[in-house]
Amino acid sequence: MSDEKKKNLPPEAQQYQDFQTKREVKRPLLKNCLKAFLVGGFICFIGQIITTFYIYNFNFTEQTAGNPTVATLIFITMLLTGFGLYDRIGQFAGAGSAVPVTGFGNAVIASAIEYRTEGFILGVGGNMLKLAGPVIVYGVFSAFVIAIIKTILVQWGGF
Amino acid sequence: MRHATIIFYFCAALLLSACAEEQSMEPGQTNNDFADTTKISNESIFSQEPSNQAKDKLSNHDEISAVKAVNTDKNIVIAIEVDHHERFTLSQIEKKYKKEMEDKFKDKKVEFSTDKKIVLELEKLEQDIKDNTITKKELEKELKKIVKLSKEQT
Repeated sequence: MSDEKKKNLPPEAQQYQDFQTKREVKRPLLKNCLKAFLVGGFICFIGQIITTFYIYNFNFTEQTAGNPTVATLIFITMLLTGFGLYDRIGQFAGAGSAVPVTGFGNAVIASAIEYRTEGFILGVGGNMLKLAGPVIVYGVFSAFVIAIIKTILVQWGGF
Repeated sequence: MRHATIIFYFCAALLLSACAEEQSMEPGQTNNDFADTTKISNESIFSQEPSNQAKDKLSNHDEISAVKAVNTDKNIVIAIEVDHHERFTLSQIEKKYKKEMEDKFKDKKVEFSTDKKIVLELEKLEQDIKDNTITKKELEKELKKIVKLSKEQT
């Protein structure tokens, strides 16, 4: 909390704030980063195995093997989420399990399971993308911004 | 205790990332010998001489680790594999060698690829040519299929 905001608080609240910051459990930042790095990397490693499998055994090139790989990873996530295993992985790895496409799949499937009791249309259909919606919105928006920047650089910058 | 776990994670990260730069080569020494190529010749189908020339020329470059090529009288399909750490500049490498090959084979339509799938398919085709288990027509058809595959977009 900034100092200016802190000054406006009553003294008891200020005292409590100091007390709280002293007692707060420190987050092990480095450890969390490493966990995220290793688990996220491991998920990507599995993805690479699946891609190689599709290239060797089916009619996919490096270019086109990405689509079935994503589908397979999301299917595996669906099973893991349904059995409650993905929560454990998420608890351990944090961002490492949220950033790859499996995290996106988990967000969709978890809310679909959660709202099942409210019916298929207003429950599952209406709430499925509650968490994943922002991802899509800002994904599309940032892609749009990047495309504009690239266009400007290529057209007028001569890169 | 906490320090021990941090050290453990650090070591794990080190272990996982350490073996990247093992390919330190002596200056002047090239890894031509390791470039994976097989020269094929089968006069009963199409002369694979242009493909062999392409393989010779491309395997002289250090960053290329495997070359596969098959040709008919009108087309030539070439696929290369590059060393793993050169893959960062894959598109430039592809452009450069594609141009080189197009200049070399002006009378043929050159298809150039760095895709693993195309390498695998060409390898299969080379084996068929070598074993003489393929006819002229089949070869043309297979090659057409490979070209179509390499053009596929997501």
